[in-house]
This record gives sequence, structure tokens and C-alpha cells, in this order.
Amino acid sequence: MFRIFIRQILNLTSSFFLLCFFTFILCDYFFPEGLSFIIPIDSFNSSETGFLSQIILYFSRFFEYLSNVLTGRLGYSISRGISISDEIIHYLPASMELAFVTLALSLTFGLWLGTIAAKCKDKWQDKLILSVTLIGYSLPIFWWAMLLVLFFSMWLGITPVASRIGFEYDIDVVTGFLLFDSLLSPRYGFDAFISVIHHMILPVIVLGTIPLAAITRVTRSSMIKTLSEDYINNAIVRGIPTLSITWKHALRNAFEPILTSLSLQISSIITGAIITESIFAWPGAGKWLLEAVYRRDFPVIHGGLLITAGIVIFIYITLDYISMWLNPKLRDRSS
Amino acid sequence: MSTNFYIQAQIPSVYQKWWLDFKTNKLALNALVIFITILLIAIFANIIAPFDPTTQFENAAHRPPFWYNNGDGRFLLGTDDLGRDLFSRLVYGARLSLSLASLVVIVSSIIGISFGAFLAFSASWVDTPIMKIMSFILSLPSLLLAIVIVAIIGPGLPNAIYAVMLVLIPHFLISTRSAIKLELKNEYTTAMCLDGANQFQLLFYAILPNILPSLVLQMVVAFSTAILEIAALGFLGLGAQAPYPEWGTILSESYDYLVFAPWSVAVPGLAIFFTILSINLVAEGLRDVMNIEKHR
Amino acid sequence: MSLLHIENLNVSLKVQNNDLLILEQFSLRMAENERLGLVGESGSGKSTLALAIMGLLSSNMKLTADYMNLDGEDLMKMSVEDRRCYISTKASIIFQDPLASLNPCFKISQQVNEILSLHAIRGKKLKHQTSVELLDAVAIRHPENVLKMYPYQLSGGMNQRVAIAIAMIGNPKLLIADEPTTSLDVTIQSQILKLLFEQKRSSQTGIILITHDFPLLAESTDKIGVIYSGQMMEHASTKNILKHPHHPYSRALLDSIPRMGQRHNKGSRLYSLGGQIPSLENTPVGCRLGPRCNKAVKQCVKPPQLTSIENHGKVRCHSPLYKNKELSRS
Repeated sequence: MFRIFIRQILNLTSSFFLLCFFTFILCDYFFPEGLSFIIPIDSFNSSETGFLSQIILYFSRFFEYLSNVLTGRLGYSISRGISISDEIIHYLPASMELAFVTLALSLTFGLWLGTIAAKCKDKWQDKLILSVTLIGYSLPIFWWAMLLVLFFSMWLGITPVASRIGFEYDIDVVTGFLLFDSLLSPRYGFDAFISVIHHMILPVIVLGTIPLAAITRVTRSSMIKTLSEDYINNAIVRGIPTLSITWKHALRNAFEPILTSLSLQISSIITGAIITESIFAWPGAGKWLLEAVYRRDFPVIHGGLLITAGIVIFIYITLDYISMWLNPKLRDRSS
Repeated sequence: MSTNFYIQAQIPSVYQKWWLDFKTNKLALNALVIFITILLIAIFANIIAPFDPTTQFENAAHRPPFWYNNGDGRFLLGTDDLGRDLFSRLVYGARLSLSLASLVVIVSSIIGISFGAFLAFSASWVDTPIMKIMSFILSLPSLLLAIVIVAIIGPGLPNAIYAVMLVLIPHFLISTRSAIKLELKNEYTTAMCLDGANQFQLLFYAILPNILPSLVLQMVVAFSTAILEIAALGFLGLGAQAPYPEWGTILSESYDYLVFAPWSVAVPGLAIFFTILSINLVAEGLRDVMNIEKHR
Repeated sequence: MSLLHIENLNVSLKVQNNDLLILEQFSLRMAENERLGLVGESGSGKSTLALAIMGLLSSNMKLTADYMNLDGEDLMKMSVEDRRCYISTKASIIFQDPLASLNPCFKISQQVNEILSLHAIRGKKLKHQTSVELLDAVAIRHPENVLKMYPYQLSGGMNQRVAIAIAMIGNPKLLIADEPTTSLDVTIQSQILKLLFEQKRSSQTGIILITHDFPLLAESTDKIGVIYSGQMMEHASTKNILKHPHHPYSRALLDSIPRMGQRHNKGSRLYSLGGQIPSLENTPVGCRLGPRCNKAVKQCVKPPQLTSIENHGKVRCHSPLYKNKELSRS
């Protein structure tokens, strides 16, 4: 497994390198003056026009770009003048917190519900789960958010409308994750933590509906397929207890398509986060990026996209690694 | 050989069998009916809609639907903040959404499928880098990409359409290429080549009929994705701008009056929801009928 | 006391609005320590029988029987869990695809150890020792190495041996082998069969060998049952069936085996029974072999019952061959 770990790290670095290269090429082509925030535009002007020297020039600009990006010097926001990397550090944890909680909950419930549906195939539990997930899958996120806000926040008044925590709390930022910071803060005690969770309920439900539906369906179909395999019959006949069969034997084999779907759902969570954050005024990277798009604030768009793509690459490679760990057959595959 | 004692049952053709199987799925059949209704509403929008979608009626702003007490009988589903009839706006919005989504799907599928087929058949070096790029684009969230494209080329309905088209092409490309490569591994394609088929004949006569089910399914799913993304872009203000009666745009305008006029939020959303739900149900039915593995 | 006694077993599959009968009025009696071979064409229902005995039928299949006794206990009277527990202690099954009987995600040692724990063998050292002994008993050459591997790294023959080893844990009274050698090379086939029957000899296990290949059963079985289209057509001792097959179908099966040294006329066709096995939706009225049988008489439109024939066994036919005639086979 160690060999595979090294291979994945290499994959990660080469992918990220390629990502930067392509971003550089695209930005240089479409927005050469936009890159001036990273590379001073006339730092590499040369009177030489030979082909080789042009290429060397191009690559020098790219390496200047790369070194700036990797050390976090991504320029300054046109509209607000704050350094992009500072803004990222400020906004990203909020989004990540939302994303993690959503992902954890939708994965857990998705696996559980999907397995139930698979075991009770064609019975009422299966039909119920299938219908509910189909509806969840077809809901437009922005409308669903509005309905929930209308019903729970406006009419019933049991959940807050916006923000991450009540206005009366002033939490020091330690990790950036309010779930932890509110517990670490000495002033407010448990109430702050409850407030954080209270504010998280609706956004998590909104963001997690589609991933939950998708993961449930994929788990169901994958488990149905796995549970019909001969080795499961064998396990039953050899007397292995049912619980062990479902969760140990079947799930490990069924996991691969679920993992593939999971990586797609992560993309959908990132997309959904942009919409959810703007509706719930959640101060995260999605809302930040969206506002930058409205203002045509190019450095922000560039920085945001780079970070997002980097995170996506990282997640994909991690999930790839996990799938190889779970299913030994994939380990011998050539990269 | 031996005499046949029993009359063989009538064996239907593949497409007939699909339709017969599809008909047994009551839910999918109903969904198809609903979708066709929506399609007809969209096509005959001029006849069905009582008013022009942009006409503003004075003193009729924020009227609730007709079943409320203070509802106006003329405006079936009420009016929005500028006094425009919501029903007419939705009907024209159906036309807008469905026609734009069809355009997007047709163009991106033609481009994606042709390029995918080209890549699958060509053994040239461009295959690997293009595949890597395409898989990378696929892994990025599609709405995010659409937003960025719109950010680069500017907001507005045509640009939103281009963005959604660009985002859908890699899906078709990769799945076509994988499907064709998979079919090429089968021996019947080798047999056809040995019989003297050139690549075009191989593609049209042998491979296309076999990959048609998954391609059709993908187009249906892409259609629902396109509707959703156009609506999402409209909602975010990056797509159709006011006064276009695009469903997403209507929703974003109505959001400000969420508490005050909840129907103006509920009804457009229901329109989007039912359209997408019916398309997804039809896609499910197709998937069952064509025996395609549920992947996504 | 009989090891397995099945009376009037019916297995039906629910398809859309019809109930298709896969096994019809199936009856079987098997003594302890007996070697029974079940032979039939593809689609005759042999595998379904194996699954029905082991309680592994899928949920869209319905099973009814007058009784189904395994080693004295009536399986029909037990609840699903009790049945599973009971069957797992008394019987084992080996499937056709060796790779499919082992979980691809776990090492061989993990899989063997799990079953050993279920049979109350604890302790890492003891388990390892027992696993090595088990693998040794199935003629695997380097058991320690094999234990560390995953199923996909072993060949089909090795996997089948591991499957047999696992099946023999706990000394089951009944071992069902459902076409165990069909997907293996011919050279390995005889080795695996020899292994199976050796196991039986050393541990007093009754074996049901299911196959579509008649010659395989000739040497190793005590009794043979011929199945066609979900019904038992003939059930007699091996010697009797091979010498005087009473049922036209058994006769046809034996005649279609090409024999070396037998004088065929040059250019003549090898014998085969014309027609096809009937589809489940359109089963013939009366005897299922009717349309294909060259000995069919008018009576054959009425379904024949399984009747005992003296000194032979049971036959389901209105006009069995050798009615009290001593005819030796050519």
C-alpha cells in the first residue's frame, strides 16, 4: 500500500502542476493584463524575438506565476483591495465546515437508507425510499431552500434565516470552524455551540438533499447487485451472521460505484454551496466567489477557481486511494 | 429438423419491446404524459397564455391566485411585483426553458458525440491529453464552470446558453468514447471489419445501434440538467435577465417577497420541479426498459 | 434414517403476472453417506434444486413442499433464521464459478478464519494450524503462501479447492456440488472430482453432484437422478441406469455420448435428441418430454407419475423401455 501512496502523491503533484499550467495558459490568452497582479507585466520583456527565447520567456513567466501561486501570493481583490489569500483563509473554513457536515451526514444516511432499500427490495420500504429519493434528486436547490426558509423560519419560526451564529455571540477565530471555536470560547459556554448547530440545520438539509438522494440510490443498486453474488450466498450458507454479511462482506464489494458517485456528489455539494450560501447569507467561499463574478473581480475569480480545482483534485485522488484500499483488485492496475 | 408443435409467440422488435415494457411502468408513463402536456403548453404558449408576459397591469401588483379571497379572477396564479400575470409568465417561461434546453442538448450532443466517436476511432496521440482534460473538466462542478464561463464572457441569456453547452459537451464526449471503445472490444466489430466494412459503416451499422440506448438516456438526463442549470443561472442573475420570463429569473425576483407573496415563489418552483421530476421519471423508466446500469 | 427426504417440492418464479413452475412435484430420497448424481440439460432446474435445498432461493421465487427433511428435521416447519442456522451446520454447497464462492476483498486466511470462528475454533495459532491442515487436505501444495493471497491471484482450480476446503469445515453431512468442474480445464476436472469423493470417504459425507455431463457420474456415484424440465424423470442406481436406462430421455442422453472404438458408419451423424427443452411459459400438456420423444404414445398427454420399478428404481414414464425385458445395451 505504501507504493500506492507514493504513486498517489505523485499523481497529486503532477495534476496540480498541470492545473496551474493550464490556468496560466488560459489566463494568459484571455486576460493577459489580468495576470499582472501576479506577475508584473513588464518584468520579462525582452527585445529578443527568436523562437527559443520566446519559449524560455514564456516558461519563465510561468514559473514566476507558479512560485507566486504556491506561496500564496495570489494578488489583491480589485474591489476590496484585500489580499486574495487572506480572503481565502477567511472564507474557506466556513464553506468547508458546511461541506464536511453535509457530506458526513449524507454519506451516513445514504449508506444506511440505501442498504435498507436493497435488503427490502420491492417491499414498501424500498418503494418509499425510491420515491423520496427521486423527488429529492429532482428538486431545484434554490427553490427547496426558499420553501424551507418560508416554512420553518418564517411560518414556524424555529430556525434562523441567515448567518452562521446568532448576532449576540462574538467568537474568536481559532480554527475557523465555528463548531470547534464555539466550544473553545470561554465566554459563552454551550449556548454558542447550540446556536451554531441551530444555524446549520437548514443549510445542511438544503445542501445535502441531492447528495443524500444520489448516494442512497447508488448504494441501493450496488448492494442489490452485490447481494445477488454467489459469495454472499456462500456466506449465508456457511452461517455467517446477517449483519456481518451486509456490513462487512457486501459493503466492501459494493463500495466502488458508491465512491464514484461520492466524487460526483462532492462536485454537486460545491455547486450547491454557492447557491445555499447566497440564500442563507452564509459567509463562505461560494458567496465570495459569486459576488466576485457579479463585480467581474478577476483576481478573486482566478484565485477561487484555482483553489476549488485544487481541492477537487485532492479529493479525487484521496477517494481513488481509498477505493484501492477497499478493493484489492484495483491495486495492480497501472496508473 | 423436427416438426414444430407449438406456434411461437409473436416476438416484437427491439423498439417495440421497449415501448411495451415502458407502458407497463405506470409511473413512467404518467410522467411522460405530464411532460408532453408541458411540451404542448410550451409550444402553444401564445394560445394558452391569456396575457403577454411583459404587460404590467396597474394597481394589480401582488395579487394572489384566484382561489384566495382577494384574488383576481383574471390572473389565475396571481401577479408579481410589477403587476405581470404569473400564469402567462410561467407559460412563456416553459417555452423559453424547453426550447433553450433542447437547443443546448442537441448542439452539445452533436459536438460531443462526433468528437467522442472521432477520438474512439482514431489511434492518434491527441487521445490521451484530450481525455485527461475532459475527465478533469467533468470532475469540476458543472454549475461552477458555467458560472466562471459567464464571468469571463459576461452575463445574459445567450452567454448562459453557451456556458451550459460548453459544460455539457465533455459528458457526451467521454461517454460516447467509452461506449464505442467498449463495443470495439467485442468480436462482432472485428468480424465486420474482416467483412470489409470501413470505419463509417462500422460506426453507423454496427456500433451506433448498440450504443443508442445509453446515448438516448444521456440526452434525456442532459435535458433535465440543462433546464436546471439554465434556471440556476437565471436565479443567480447570470443568465436570463429581466424581463425575460425564465423560471429561474422569476424565482429570483420573487424571493424578495417571500413572506409577503409566497405563491410567487411556490408556483414557478413547482413548474421547474414538475418538469424535472417528470423527465427524471421518464429517464428512470427508460433505464429500466433498456437495462442500463444505474451509475449516477 | 435418510439424510435428505424431499416430497413434492414445487418452486415457482413470479414473472409479471404468471407463476412459472421451475421445479414440479419433485421428490427425492437420499441415504446417509450416499453419492447421488443429478444430471440434466441446461435449464432443467438442477441448480434451482440445489438452491432450494440450501434455502438460497431469491425472494421472487416461491417454494412449497409436502416435506423437506434434512437429517431428520423438517425444514418447512422452521423459521427462516432457524433454517439458516440448521442448514449451515448440516450442509454445504460448492458452486460452479470458483471465483464467485470466495469474497474478492478478503484474503483466503481471513475467509477461512471467519468460518473457523463460527465453528468454535479460537486462537490465532490454532486457526492457522487448522487452515493449513484444511488446505493440505485438498492437495494445495504451499498452504502458507496460498493463505496470504487474494482469490483473484489464484487459478480457478486452486479457488475451487479452497472452496471445497471451506465447505468441509465442520464436517457437514451433506455436500452439494453444483457443476463444480464445468468452468475448469479437463485436466483439473478429474483431480477435483477425486478430491470431492475422497472427502466423502474420509468424513462420511453424503454428496450430491449436479452436472450436465453424464460420463462424469459413471465412476463415482451410487445413484443417479435424471432431471428434465423441472421434473425427476428417472432415479435409480448408477449401474442400473447405465446398463438399462428405462426412461427414453436417459436413453437419449446415454446414446448421445460419442464412444471411442464404437463403430460409427463413416459420414453418419452423431445421435442427438431433436427439439429443445420447452420454455417455462409454454410447457407441453402431459409428459414434458412428449414432443421430443420418439416413443410417445397417446397416453402421454396425461402427465405420468413417478413409479417404482422392481430391481431398478423410479421412472416417470407411461411406457418405459425394458418392460420386463432383459435387453443388454449394445
